[in-house]
Amino acid sequence: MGRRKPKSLFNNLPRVLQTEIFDKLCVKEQSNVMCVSHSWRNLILTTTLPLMDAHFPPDSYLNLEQLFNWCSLVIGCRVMPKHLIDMCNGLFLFCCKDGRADNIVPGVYHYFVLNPVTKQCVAVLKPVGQKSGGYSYAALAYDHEESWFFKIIRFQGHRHINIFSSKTGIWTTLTICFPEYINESYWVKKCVYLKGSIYRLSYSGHLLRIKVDPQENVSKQAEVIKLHPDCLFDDSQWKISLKDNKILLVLSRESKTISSTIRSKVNIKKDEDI
Amino acid sequence: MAEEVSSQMNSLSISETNPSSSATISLVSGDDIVFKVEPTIAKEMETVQSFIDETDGKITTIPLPNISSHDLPYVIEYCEKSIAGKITKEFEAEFVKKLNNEEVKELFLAANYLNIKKLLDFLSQVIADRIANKSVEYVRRYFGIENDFTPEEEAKLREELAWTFTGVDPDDEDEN
Repeated sequence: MGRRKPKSLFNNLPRVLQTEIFDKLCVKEQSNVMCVSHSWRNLILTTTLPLMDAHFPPDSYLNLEQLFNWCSLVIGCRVMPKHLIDMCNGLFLFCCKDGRADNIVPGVYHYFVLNPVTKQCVAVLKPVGQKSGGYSYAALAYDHEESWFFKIIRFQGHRHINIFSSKTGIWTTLTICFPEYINESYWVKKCVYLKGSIYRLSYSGHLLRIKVDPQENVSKQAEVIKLHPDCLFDDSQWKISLKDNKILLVLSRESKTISSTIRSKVNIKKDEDI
Repeated sequence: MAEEVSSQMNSLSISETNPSSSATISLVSGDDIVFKVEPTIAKEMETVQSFIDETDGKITTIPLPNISSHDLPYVIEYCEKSIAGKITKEFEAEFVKKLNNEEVKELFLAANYLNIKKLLDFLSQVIADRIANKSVEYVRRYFGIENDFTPEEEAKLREELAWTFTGVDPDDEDEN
């Protein structure tokens, strides 16, 4: 036919057109074509994030794997489910030092807050820019019905919390005052956020409630809720979760789960408090 | 009765004073072949339509130097189906079957030039499908892109990305 053979014409395409195509590729394919050239790699990293299945949370292993592949892709280093520190109303929280997003200091720990649905990723420098992974545990406070902004609540020992607000973009530190027996006991590494407060379990048999917004009276910042002794078993794993705006305490021992009889009791407490 | 007649007369007079609503549009390809199309087809092509609008419909011959007479019929065919509301999966599958890789690329550019959103969207999916599950080398050839990574860089990159393949494509490698 003797028609012109377009040479490298796709390199001359406007970015939006390249993005059109990249956008239609799955995560695996995007990773693959990131090896094509520098410009492709940069373009995919900066503009195109993989498509997610519309339904969320993922309901199959493959989706879960894709999800973490996606998280790894946007953070810039590999993250596994065990690196997921917290999830809160659709947001994910990771902490790592090998991320490669723009304007990140390499080798310094950052928190990464990801929204897999809107495909956003925000990197937040750990307070004082630590190079160690110590005291990385943090919780997310986010409820889109309350606010579009999220907060990261990082536990600095048992006496202080650092709070990052995505609204102000800065970290603030609050002092929390718990009785000594709470400070000395072990706290379960899992938090839930409900209506302005973070809840965390203490193995002393208490539920700790920490208000996320600074209170005028320091003693009001944090509060101890005693769990009903009938529902506490020795040698059991304690977990806390949320269901229908109620806090659910799950105790599990060996392989069988003794679901919480105390649920209603904790709930009653909550209802009074809120 | 009288009202009806007068309204008919009105519509007649409107069509007379507005030639663009009935006259065909001539699209001239880059190699000077003229394609006569209905104005409704031109409407699908935003670039053509804005040209017509700018000249108040006085100009009905539109040169499209970037599009060859080989590609233009495909574009017109797609637009015709689009107006008829007959863009089905079957039609798209048949449409794609006729096209080789080079034609897909050229049509993609044509769709962009003519600003036909639906066709562009469709073809970007076609291109994505055609490079899916292909090697990096194949993708480079397909897009005519030169590898600007050093061998070390590329090896490192591939190693770093190796995990993205695990468990996703069972045909590739048996990973345990």
